Amino acid sequence: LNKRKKLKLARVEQDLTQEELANRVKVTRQTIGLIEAGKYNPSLKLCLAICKTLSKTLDDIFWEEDEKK
Amino acid sequence: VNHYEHYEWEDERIKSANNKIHSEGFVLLLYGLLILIIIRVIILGHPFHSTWDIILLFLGASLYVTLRHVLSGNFSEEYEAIQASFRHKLSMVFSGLLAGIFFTVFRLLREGFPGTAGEVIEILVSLIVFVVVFMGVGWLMRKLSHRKAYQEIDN
Repeated sequence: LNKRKKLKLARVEQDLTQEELANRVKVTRQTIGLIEAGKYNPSLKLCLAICKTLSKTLDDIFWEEDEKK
Repeated sequence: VNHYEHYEWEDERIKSANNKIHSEGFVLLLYGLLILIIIRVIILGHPFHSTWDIILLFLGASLYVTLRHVLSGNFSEEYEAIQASFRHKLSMVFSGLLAGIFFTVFRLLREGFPGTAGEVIEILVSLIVFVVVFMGVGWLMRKLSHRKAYQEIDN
């Protein structure tokens, strides 16, 4: 799974909408939407806020295995 | 639920997009000023005193950007590259020569072509002085920037 799908999955697991997650980490819904669509790379600060909100680690959501391996 | 609460937040994506738009606008403005100066001074032949405000604005803005780059240590790697490689030393000399040629062409277009041997020598001397000062200032800025970058690391 890539980080887009991991984030969406973690958000759905917590039964949160994009807007609810966005409100909790204090960004706009569009920003969460763009992260999930792979069109925006969040800062470490925002990654940490998202992980804490979704009770996940950085590895759980944002770590990607090298596709060549 | 306050749907407009996010207006009070600093969304990093919006902030960075705003910075990018402002920065691009600034570059457009700076190039616009440069084109305006070239048109007025070279093509229309306006005297310097009638365009000093635009020239001052252009030089002030360029100086601000350059100083901020120097003080942020952004030229540090460039300095290390020039110290370490002959190719980078050569490219610094070429950029100095290119700037010198632009400066001389600009002078010739404004003041006309030299008629006597003395005037030719004067133009050549001013070209050499310009190239040396241009490279010297460039090297000094990179060195200062390098020192600043390492000061920040040490602190």
